[in-house]
Amino acid sequence: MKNKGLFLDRGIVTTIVILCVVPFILQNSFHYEIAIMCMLNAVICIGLNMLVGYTGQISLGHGAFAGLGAYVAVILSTTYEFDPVISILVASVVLAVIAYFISKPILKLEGHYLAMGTLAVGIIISIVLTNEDQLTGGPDGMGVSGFHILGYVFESDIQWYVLSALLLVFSIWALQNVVNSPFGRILRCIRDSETAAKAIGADVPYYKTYVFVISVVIATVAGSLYSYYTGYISPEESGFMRSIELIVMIVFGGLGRIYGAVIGAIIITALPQFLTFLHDYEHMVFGAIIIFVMIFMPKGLVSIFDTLQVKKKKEITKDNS
Amino acid sequence: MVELLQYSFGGLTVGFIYALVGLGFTVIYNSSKIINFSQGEFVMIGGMAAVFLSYADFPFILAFPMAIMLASLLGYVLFKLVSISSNSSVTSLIILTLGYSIFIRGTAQVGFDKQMHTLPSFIGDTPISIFGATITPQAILVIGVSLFIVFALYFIFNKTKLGKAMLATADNKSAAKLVGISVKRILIMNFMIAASIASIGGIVLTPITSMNYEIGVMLGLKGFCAAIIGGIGNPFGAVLGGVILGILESFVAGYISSEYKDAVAFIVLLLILFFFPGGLFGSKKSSRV
Amino acid sequence: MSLLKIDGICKSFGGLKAVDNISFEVKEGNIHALIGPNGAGKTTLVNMISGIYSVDSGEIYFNDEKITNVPTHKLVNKHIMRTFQNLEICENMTVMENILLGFNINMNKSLLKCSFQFESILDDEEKFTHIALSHLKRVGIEEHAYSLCSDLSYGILKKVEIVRALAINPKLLLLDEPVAGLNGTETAEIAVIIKEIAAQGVTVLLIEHDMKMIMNISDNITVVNFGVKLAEGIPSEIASNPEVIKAYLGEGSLHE
Repeated sequence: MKNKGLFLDRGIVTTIVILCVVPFILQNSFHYEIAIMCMLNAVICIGLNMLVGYTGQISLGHGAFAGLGAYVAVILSTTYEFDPVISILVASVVLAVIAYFISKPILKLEGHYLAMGTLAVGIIISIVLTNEDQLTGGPDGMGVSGFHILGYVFESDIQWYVLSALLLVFSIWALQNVVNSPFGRILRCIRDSETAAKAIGADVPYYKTYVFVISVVIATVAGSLYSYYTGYISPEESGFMRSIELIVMIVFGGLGRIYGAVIGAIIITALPQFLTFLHDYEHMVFGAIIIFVMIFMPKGLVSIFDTLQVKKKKEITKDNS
Repeated sequence: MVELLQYSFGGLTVGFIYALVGLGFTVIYNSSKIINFSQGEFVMIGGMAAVFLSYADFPFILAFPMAIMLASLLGYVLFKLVSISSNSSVTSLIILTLGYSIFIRGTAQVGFDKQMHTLPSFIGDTPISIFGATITPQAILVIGVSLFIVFALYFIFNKTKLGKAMLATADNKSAAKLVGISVKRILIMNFMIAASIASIGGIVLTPITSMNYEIGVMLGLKGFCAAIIGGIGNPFGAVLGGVILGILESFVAGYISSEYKDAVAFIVLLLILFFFPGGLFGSKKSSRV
Repeated sequence: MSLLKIDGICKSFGGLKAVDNISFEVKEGNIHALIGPNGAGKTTLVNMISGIYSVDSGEIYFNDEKITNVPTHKLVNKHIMRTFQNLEICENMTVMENILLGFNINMNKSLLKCSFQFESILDDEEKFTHIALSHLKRVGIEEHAYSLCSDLSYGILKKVEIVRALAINPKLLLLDEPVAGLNGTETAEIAVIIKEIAAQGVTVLLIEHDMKMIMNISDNITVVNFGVKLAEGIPSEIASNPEVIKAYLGEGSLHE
């Protein structure tokens, strides 16, 4: 266990170092946009991973919640001129309540049924967002107000970069703490055996709802920030493909692993940008990559580090003998 | 009354396409317990391939079977991908079939194009009047072909030795192997059948709704809704589910709001999941502790 | 003093009556065995006591308090713990993590505190890890404390489940076939553990098929068959009861 603790702290230090170094590689606004998108997606994925990876509840509708949350915040601050931070807070509360009530019947489902149920909820939300154009600007989306915290305005790329980076590091740190804590253990227990969880006194529906709500709130915050950053929001951000994208990120990176969620988010966000030279072949290649990883690295990319660790351990024991 | 009938005809037509998608989905699910998210793409491939082959001057009589064979081949490829997968967890397989659907869509985008395409009606254009409502010959063809497929599958599964082998494999692979059934071949056949019937649906649907590389997404999703509404694993349920769904959608679009038409399938799905978890015709499971 | 009282409980699944009007009492501090052929309704009974299944009719009392249909997780607060016939262990977690789960109701779990690694959380971890290690030592598996459960043998995992159930010093422990699938040595080890548990004041309700072990360690035995209580008494009475013999060995054996 102690060994594991060291590795995790190393992970955070490494992350911080990388985050400090990256701005020197970014050359223009577009690069910054990708980096910020990666980080905010990583935050959403960390939350989603808590639900899917650690508690074992598949959600194929998370994009819709992220999008809905962002819309609430953005509409409040743009159309009704609320303070942006207040808007995000209100949006979080609203989404928490919605998520709470949806979770009660939905999380009674299991496996494929849960997958389809969350999918259905997500699609319904995204259809509503597309159709209620009075409020949301419809399929063309709407422009978004500026963002400031207590008067400090966030305008430049580097400001957003730092904000996103701070959020990411905090999310990683907090979730790491949770995973190894009694709360996190209960979540993982639910994933492995709900009966065992009951048998040790955990109110399973309570925890499932708790995690669902938390992951929705995280998605709301990160999703809202992204819209404030780009100055724009559209229903596509709440669409089915967005939900799928998020799930692909966490599975691709490594389900049930914090850094898996982070790595998966970064690669899936950044990869299409590197594939643009392929123009129309982009989707084909993207699909092919997903297929390849799911067949040959089902535990996700993070499993590469596992095999390296095992090799290292073998070397150490060899040296000792 | 005429309106009701008109909406019903429209709903019936698209409903049978949902039925075919749901049916194919059920066939694959029954034999391998896999949720195939790329099922809708087979419909798209059927239609698009038929269109482009006819542009290349192939007569329908050649183009259609070729399109079906192409879809069938894609079904085979999917089987291969699934069988070499080292991890069979629910999530991994869902992502795998999703990746495959993205791949097929991406390939269609490049191999065909991004435009809408259509075919002329196969048996003429003159609408037929029934009790004041009209239905096109093509729509009747869709319904007829779909019904034929449903009964053909029913016959195969229940009245032939091959069909019995398929049912046995679906029920218990190990037992099936022990009695000499080539499980692998059965699975391959099931995947290819599922893809074929979806592609046939796509071909007959093209003259009515036109095709483009993206229609597979919604069709696939609604096909699943149909299958689950009918009770996952129940072929007749899938068909009935599809038809009911198509008609409901049509009514909502006609009487309530056409903007929310797409939401119908998913709302019904949720209602079924909450109140009839086994689907309308499915069975309830319970697990031993 | 009867700690657990089952009063006329019934359970049907569809048309099948799995448990038909069964009543018995478990005295405090006893090892009380529940035996019967496969399908007799023993696990159904235990599942009803532990809140996994609902009761169709009848009542269950714990310490004179009605606990009928109280859900499983709430029974833990009353210090009623159990193990499972089908081994409900968290495979993707280590032995230590599984045991720490056993301490769940005594631990600080607030998400806020956990996220920020409050002192109280860390202190709890240390304290309970210590206790867990001593428990694991008592059953002889402390060397596996940090191994992943999916890497360990069935026999070891059976012990882990028992240790997990003992973590909070339960008043009543329900053991559902704790030695099923174990060899002679492993069975003997578990038997010793159960005797030690009872000696420390824990009341044990034990479902088992291993007659030798049952006769050896039980204070009282209730026999069920086809969902009905067949007999009840101390081991020697049960061993010579003709109805019991008939149920297990068939009609013919009576005439041997």
